[in-house]
Amino acid sequence: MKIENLITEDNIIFDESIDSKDRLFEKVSEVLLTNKIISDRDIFIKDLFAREAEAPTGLIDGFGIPHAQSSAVLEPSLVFIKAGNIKDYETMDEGIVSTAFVIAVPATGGSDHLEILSNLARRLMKDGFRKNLKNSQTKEEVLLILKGEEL
Amino acid sequence: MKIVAVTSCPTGIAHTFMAAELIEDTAKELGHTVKVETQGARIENELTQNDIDTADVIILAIDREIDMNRFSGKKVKKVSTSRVIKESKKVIAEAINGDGSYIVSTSANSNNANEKKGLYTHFMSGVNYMLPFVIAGGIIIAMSFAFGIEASDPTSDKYNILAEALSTIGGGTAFALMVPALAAGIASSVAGRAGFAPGLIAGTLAANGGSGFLGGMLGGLLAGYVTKFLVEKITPPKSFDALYNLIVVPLIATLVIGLSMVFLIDKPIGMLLESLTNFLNGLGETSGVMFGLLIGVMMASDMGGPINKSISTFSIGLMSAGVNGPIAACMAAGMVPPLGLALASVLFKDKFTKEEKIQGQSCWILGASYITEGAIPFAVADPIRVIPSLMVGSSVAAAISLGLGVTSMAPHGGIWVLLIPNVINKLGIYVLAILAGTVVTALLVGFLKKPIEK
Repeated sequence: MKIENLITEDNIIFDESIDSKDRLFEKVSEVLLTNKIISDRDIFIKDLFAREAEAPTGLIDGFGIPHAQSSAVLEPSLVFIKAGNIKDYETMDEGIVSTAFVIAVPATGGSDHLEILSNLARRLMKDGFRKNLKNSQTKEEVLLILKGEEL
Repeated sequence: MKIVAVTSCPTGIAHTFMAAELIEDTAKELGHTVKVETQGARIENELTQNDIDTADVIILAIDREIDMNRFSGKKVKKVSTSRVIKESKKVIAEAINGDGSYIVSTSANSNNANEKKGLYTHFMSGVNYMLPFVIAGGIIIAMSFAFGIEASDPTSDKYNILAEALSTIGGGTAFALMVPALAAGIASSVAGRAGFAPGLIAGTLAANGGSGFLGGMLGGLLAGYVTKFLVEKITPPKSFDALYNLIVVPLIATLVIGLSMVFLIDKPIGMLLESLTNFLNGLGETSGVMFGLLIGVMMASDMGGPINKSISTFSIGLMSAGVNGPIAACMAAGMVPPLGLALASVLFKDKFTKEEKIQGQSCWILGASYITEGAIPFAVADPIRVIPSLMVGSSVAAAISLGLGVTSMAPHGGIWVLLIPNVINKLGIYVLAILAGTVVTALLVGFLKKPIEK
């Protein structure tokens, strides 16, 4: 499995008007519902918030990775969002989240996607990778960056 | 310097790997050798005991509890994954200097205690899987009895189609799935989802092979540990990973467990059953207190298992010879375990969990209906204290019943046949025998069981 199996241009969102976690999760859920990746918008949002309640998923350098293993998810999927400044998103370095990966994982099923996701998590720790993503302007560019350093 | 680390986070999807990457990168940057085990959805790059023993620095970047036995006696630095992500250099520097590090305690018994506690957790998990089958099935069987004890039998003149349906649902289906569910629950608790199928198969073999819930407990544990071994201890090449987990693990686990159940458990049980039947047939004398005590012990020992079956089948056989005392004693001994536990859960509130107390309420109905299986969840949860208490209580009831010459014209039905005139020859004494057994069981369970730890 490759990262293209988890993310397509349909799952890349540029929307400066997103300025809160609520709006972020709503927008992502709408997109995933339209693309038939989740079966129920409300359950998925609830599961995302449940994970946030355990520990916020804000990282460093303006990145956030909300994720949920949810019964509403039909197939594993990844969403990339460039948003406005999301002020209510706690991070580890007091920065403000404006770039996010949302990871949707089904509650049951295979494990092929886990390796892709752990690989993505590892790459997110590389300064260059984060910088390239932040500077990206188009969906094509984002996909190229994601495919680029594929192991 | 040699640094080893374990990373783990609640969902095991992201933070585990981010922390691992940073520890690896930062350590290498600083010129150290490093190995990081990730406990995500599964354990990868597992540290060997040798890795741990030879390491200069041990870092645990974990947001949930992990098994600490491997680290006992070692100095570790424990932090959250987010601290590593935020300031990995500082964390590694602190770990090297020993700032905030501590020695993991080496209590000699910790391993053992964990394993015991583990066993209890696995059994409780199995009970949770099994309970709906016992309660729904038992009450539906009792509902079928309410139509008359023979109403589910198409050849009887009291036949009722609804009673037959209820009997099929409760007895034929829900009760038939009880032991499979128990074993599947235990195996899943040990080995995760991979344990479910081998556990279900082990439980069904136990149910069909006649070893009852004790066989199911053993089979479930075995299925769980075999599967766990296959999943955790054997690492196939990465390209075979999917194939291994999808085909090899269930196939091998099922074969190992299936063959063990058939040849190591079912066969000996079959032989035991045969020798018990021979022993009973050789007894000849079928009345009196001694035989009553024997009936009680056998009825309560495995509740639906081979020992219980051999004595009740033997007693039903005696009915055709016109000897109706033993079957009355069997019925009393079979009613006492759930009734005794129901009473105990009311009298000794601190000895039962909240769920067990609710379950205790349903045991009044199950016990009164001579559905001994109602006691099984309690027996699974604490076999060493509960089963002997049940044996003693049932023996008291059976000995009084048989010793004072109570007879029954019906082989089954509990309270539903007691209410029919002339089925029991000495109804007053019979009720007294059941009450006595119930009280003895309840008191013994109450004294032996330990208070619930909170």
